[in-house]
Amino acid sequence: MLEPEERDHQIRRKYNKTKKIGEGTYADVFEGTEIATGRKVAIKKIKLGKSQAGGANGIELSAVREIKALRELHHPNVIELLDCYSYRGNLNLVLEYLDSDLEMIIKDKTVIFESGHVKSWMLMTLRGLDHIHRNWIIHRDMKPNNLLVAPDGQLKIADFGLARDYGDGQEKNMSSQVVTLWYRAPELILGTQQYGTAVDIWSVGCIFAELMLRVPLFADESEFVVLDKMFQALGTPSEEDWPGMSLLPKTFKFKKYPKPPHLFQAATKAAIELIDKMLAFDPNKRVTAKEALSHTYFKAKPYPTHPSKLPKYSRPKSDDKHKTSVHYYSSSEGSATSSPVLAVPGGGGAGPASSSVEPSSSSSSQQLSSVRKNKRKAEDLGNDNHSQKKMHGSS
Amino acid sequence: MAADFWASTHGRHWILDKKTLQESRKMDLLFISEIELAKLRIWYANLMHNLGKRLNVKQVIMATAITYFKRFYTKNTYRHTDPNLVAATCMYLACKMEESPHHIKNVISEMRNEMRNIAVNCKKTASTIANEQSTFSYDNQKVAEMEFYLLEELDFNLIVFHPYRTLTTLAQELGQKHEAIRDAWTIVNDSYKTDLCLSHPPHMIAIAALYIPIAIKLGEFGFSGKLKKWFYSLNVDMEEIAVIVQEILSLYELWSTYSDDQIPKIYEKLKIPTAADIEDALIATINTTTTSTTSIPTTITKIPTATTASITTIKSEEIIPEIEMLEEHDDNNNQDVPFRATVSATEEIDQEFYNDDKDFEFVLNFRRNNSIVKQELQSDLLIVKPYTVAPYTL
Repeated sequence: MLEPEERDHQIRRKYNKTKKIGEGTYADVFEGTEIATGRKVAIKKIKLGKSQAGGANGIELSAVREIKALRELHHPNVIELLDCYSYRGNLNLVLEYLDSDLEMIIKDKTVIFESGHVKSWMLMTLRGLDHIHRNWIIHRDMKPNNLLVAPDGQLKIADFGLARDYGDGQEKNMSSQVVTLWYRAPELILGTQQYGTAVDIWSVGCIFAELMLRVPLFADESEFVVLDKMFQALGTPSEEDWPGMSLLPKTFKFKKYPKPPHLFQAATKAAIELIDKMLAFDPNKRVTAKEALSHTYFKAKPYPTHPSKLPKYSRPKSDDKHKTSVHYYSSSEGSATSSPVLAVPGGGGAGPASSSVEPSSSSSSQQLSSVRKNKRKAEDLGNDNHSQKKMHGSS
Repeated sequence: MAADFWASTHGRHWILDKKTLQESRKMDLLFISEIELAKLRIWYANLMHNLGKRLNVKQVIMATAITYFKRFYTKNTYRHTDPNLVAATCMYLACKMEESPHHIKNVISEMRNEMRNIAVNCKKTASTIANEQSTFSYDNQKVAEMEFYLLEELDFNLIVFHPYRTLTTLAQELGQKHEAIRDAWTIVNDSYKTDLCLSHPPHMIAIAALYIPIAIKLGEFGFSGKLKKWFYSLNVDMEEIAVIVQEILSLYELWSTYSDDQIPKIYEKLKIPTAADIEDALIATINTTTTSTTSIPTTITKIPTATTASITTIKSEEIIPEIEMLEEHDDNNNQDVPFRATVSATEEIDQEFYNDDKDFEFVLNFRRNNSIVKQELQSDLLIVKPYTVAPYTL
């Protein structure tokens, strides 16, 4: 058996760190290559946590969650943790290198989505998610930004900084402050502390809708406005629709909206049925990933597009330093700064660079992203306080 | 559930065979006997249990922490590490892993309290080592560093499966209130005082734990009827169950002679510096002018000589082939050979220990094929002398 130091060296020598591509509160991300194969990798270097007092504080909770989850998960639609090693007091996670995500593709107005594309992305998302759920893990931060896209078109679920395992039947006090607000399930907004994989399905339902609408379905900065938007779009649930709703911690007297005609009238019957099942208010009535996968939607024509034929994110030529977020961080918990930004030189990426981006749409999308960033920042601060409270709770 | 277990890191990398385990203990066994090592195991499981209680954590977290501890010591020796630091770090990591994080300072201060408590109890035995052992002088930095090292030694495999989940499922089938379930729960808790969680899958441990109370109280539970059928409907490898049962029973047997007072002595024996250690320490003192960091014990009472060391090695080697022979024999002969599980390993190492307890002979007769067992259950059922198992209510 190898001594740990020796083993570390061996693993470290397998990779070539080239340049730093991002920085966060608890980790730096480097681009690198696997020497033997020339394959591009992302190396996430986790620093030893330091508390305010200057003393060491152990490894960040999100890093532990990430390692814990990714060590167990091996699936084409889940980001692969290739290796772990420690070097000079730092922990290094070697991950697959993926340079675009579904959010970028959705926002890229030069790309036109066909229903086969949407179906293919949904299929890959649900396959990955089913694998995660079968391993008794809840992701708790499903959003287009965390669905990375490989050069060959495969979609991969990433960012397990909020993920946790469940299922020994003893969890009672899980934090309801999880999942980015726009994709947060109603039971979480109403403050439940006992929930399950259904929260991920709600998020996938939101992503499904976003793929069709090209804008986020329930976008707002306040929990209750988001909830109100849900009720407007889907009709306020009655006690019959969602038994136990009135018992949730943060429940109140909701404004009653009638069930409106369906949002997605252009979509096929099967698609509408599936989205309705994913966006069921009662978590017990929501479909599971496994059930969703056998839904007629995926069997009906048009068939899901082959991943290699899916539209790719085309990096605007004019932006030499286009800003994209780095996905190797947990953006919503444990970091007080806004999502780190990464400068990627143009030209070196996947796919041909598109010639132009409409000025109006790009400015609006920039506006949107700045709003999102602010929102995230506010949320981060809130969550950070929350987690610190938790950490200090018993001292 | 089970399918996931076999795909998990626990199932793939952390079910170790006897040989690997034996190999990992070799170094420590140069200084202390198997029995003494088993007693240390009880001691540290208790210590971590108490620490967990102080931190008010769930049973599962304690079990995870203890499993980390055991996994760590398959790659390290008690002799060259401080088990107290490892124990505290395991607890810290397990809390974080199981989503109920405690602040690092909190874990350290509770560990100190626990050690103080031990010191008070150990005063009676007035051992010098007891004092050394009873201080936990590490700060945040040390524990945080240890956490890194621990993560590496665990190969970053953090998810641990426990028998509790299986037991809950079985309880639903059998009826929650069933007395056997309650007993099995206690037995599973106790199983963490052995190395079973390193060598057998958790669901097998759960079933074995359930088997013991059912087998002991045959008459009471009416095992001949529905219960028997239900048990065999589980269709598991009864030989493995027998091995686990045996291991658990050996634990209870050992436990009845165990007392905390014995620990300082064992610890002392374990930490005796060898000539090489002294040399290292001397070199260290020469190299660094500050002598405060390296402490050379003033009283070196006994340095293990080559002869004692070699005897121990021979002993442990004697055991391995025997176990292998047994397995080989089983594999070659798939027919109705009655499987005989005796206290094998431990019995041979410490005859003295078992000499006064000749009654402790626990013979399990099983047929290899479960279907045969089903037919001839009445006669082939294991024969247990209940009084030998009594201590499990401890």
